[in-house]
Amino acid sequence: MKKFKLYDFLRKDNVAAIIFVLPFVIGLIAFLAVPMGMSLYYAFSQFNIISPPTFIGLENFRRMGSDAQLWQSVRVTFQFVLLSVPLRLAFALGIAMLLFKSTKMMGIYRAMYYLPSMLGGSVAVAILWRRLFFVTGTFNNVILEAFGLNRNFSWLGDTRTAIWTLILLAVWQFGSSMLIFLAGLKQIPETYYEAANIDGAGKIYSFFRITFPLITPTIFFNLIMQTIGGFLTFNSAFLITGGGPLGTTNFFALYMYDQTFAFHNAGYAAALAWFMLGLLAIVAGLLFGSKRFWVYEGGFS
Amino acid sequence: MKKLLSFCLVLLLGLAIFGLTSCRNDDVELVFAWWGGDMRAEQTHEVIDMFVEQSDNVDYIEGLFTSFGDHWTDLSIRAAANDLPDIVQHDVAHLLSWVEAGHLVDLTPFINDNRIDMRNVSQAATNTGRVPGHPGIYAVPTGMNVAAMLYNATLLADLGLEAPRNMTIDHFILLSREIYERSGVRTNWAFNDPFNQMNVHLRAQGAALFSGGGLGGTIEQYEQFFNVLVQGIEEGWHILPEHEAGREGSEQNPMWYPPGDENANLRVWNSPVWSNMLNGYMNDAPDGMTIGMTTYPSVNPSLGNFGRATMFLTITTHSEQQDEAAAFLNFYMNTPAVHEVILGDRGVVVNTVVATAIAPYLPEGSVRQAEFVDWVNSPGNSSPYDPLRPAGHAELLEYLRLIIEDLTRLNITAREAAERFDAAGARIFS
Repeated sequence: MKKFKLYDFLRKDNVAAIIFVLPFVIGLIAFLAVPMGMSLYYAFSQFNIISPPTFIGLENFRRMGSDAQLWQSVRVTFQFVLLSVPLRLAFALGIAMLLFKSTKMMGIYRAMYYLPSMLGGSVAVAILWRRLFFVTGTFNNVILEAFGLNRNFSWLGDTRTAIWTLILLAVWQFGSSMLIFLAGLKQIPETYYEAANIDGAGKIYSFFRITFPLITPTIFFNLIMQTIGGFLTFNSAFLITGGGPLGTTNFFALYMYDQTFAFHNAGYAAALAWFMLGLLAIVAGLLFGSKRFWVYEGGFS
Repeated sequence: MKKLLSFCLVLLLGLAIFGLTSCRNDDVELVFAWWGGDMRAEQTHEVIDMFVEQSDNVDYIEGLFTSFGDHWTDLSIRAAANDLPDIVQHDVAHLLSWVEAGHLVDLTPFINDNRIDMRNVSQAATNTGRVPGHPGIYAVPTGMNVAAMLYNATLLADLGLEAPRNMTIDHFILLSREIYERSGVRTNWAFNDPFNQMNVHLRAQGAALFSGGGLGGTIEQYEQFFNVLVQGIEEGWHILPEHEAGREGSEQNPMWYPPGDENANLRVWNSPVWSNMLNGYMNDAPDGMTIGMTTYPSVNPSLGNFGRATMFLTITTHSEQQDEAAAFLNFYMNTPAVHEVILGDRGVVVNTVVATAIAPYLPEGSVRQAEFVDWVNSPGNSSPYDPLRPAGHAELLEYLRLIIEDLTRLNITAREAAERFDAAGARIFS
């Protein structure tokens, strides 16, 4: 019988590959597949977290139909995504165009403009944002004083403005989209612009006829990623507005959190999570379906 | 050869991590979770050090502390993961569901053989650790607390006004209106804890917010409650809901806004909270402001007022060191030195011997707090309190806050608010 040798074993064809892929597979099973399976079971159970779940069939899904707060949260989440994602992408593309020229300082500018993205999701910035827009906050004190307006306007407490403070924060975190746009812009061959220039095309004409069509794949990628991220927004609403006033910033993820930890309806919250998954799949499906109408699929040569 | 070397290195690293995490010494370590601010955390850590120093086998207690809301979020995650702390600070609102889920140890055996010595605590106070339908005592109260309205007594003195104890709601409305008309300072009647305020309103009429597993009042009674708010908003003396949005704790308490600056029209003169918060308010108040304390207003305050045991200590069934945890509870309940540090921050001490022993050390706020709690609890000034809330109460509270937001923006009438509240109660508790 052949003696087992560790070295020979490791030299075998597939072993190294399997070992390298193992951490990912274990992670996938432990942190994604198993939790999803559990969540699916909870979705059909009554579960208050502190006691074991009991199976109740479709009750949680039936309940969604008459849950007015749920539909309000779906509505405000859509509102947030529809406003914040296009604004952020437009802003990111605009800044990317400005930072596209290669000069000495450009590296520093790019790093600086990326900074808000690294800070944006953090608790510290959320608290800063809350203080900024609080009724006695900095925004009222400094900016509005300069114009002599009402200094006690509550930006976080008014149903018309609260969501805009969160949209502003989301738009401010344009950095990652901007970097992707910069990479996309670099892909466009310089010769196209030269040819257009010789034919007498101006800057704006070049942008709409060359840059924009050729960058649509990048726009599409950013759109998908930011839309999914937007639907899952939690931190800013949780920390800055707490879902108020009158539920106008009570985003879906926040409502799910409240159902789980504040109201102890973890089973219902799990059902909501699966509902959200379905909703996201539909939205992503629609976006992919629209791709052939506006996204450039060809090469650059 | 390189591959083998790197494999061995990875293996070694894995073993090292495993070794570190499984390395334990024989001494007992406990985990204690409570809610509260920085002041309470400092005090509690001092008490923990005292306990560890005199204990033979406990050499470390890990303290987990956070805000009231996060405390319960954190604990429910730990409960689901079978990783509850040994000792948990508990609240009446959550006691019942925790006992029913089987997470709390029956302390009766410890109390019977005085390992948790309750001989100097009144039977009534000890009984607050019981819940209906279960035979045991699951919690020991650290103190007694009463609902208290803290207010800017300096402002009222300047205006020549008074906020006497057992004010009726009509008296309170007149007072609030007069303060607003003469100084522009507003009132916060029901924004801090609308549940508690509504409960006092119902108790004053011989009812209660919860009874028999559901809501205990009538639509007419809820309407009266909401009407006071509408009146306050319409006449201008009650603060507006948007001024509360994004406010952080006591630091941005509108009671502290100075007169005459740009935020003067956001000032309030009162804050409906609890008696154990007096010391904290006296610390936070700006120089020269005296903090007064009075009862919550209602149609019949001597029925509406109540005293209740508060901030229970419990031992969880997950704990493998229940004897040591019980020793800590005993230490906390019976050691005067502990309460020379805590100074009534968790309510007025229920142990009569300890209360006498620490009396000379108490600061002004704790003395006033003790006197106030005694006064409310004396016959004729309050009526018995049923603290247990049915499951789903947190969802109803959130819904009540939404109703109040709608109402105080005058989007709905008091009658509509009452009907919505009643319907929400029927739905949640069905």
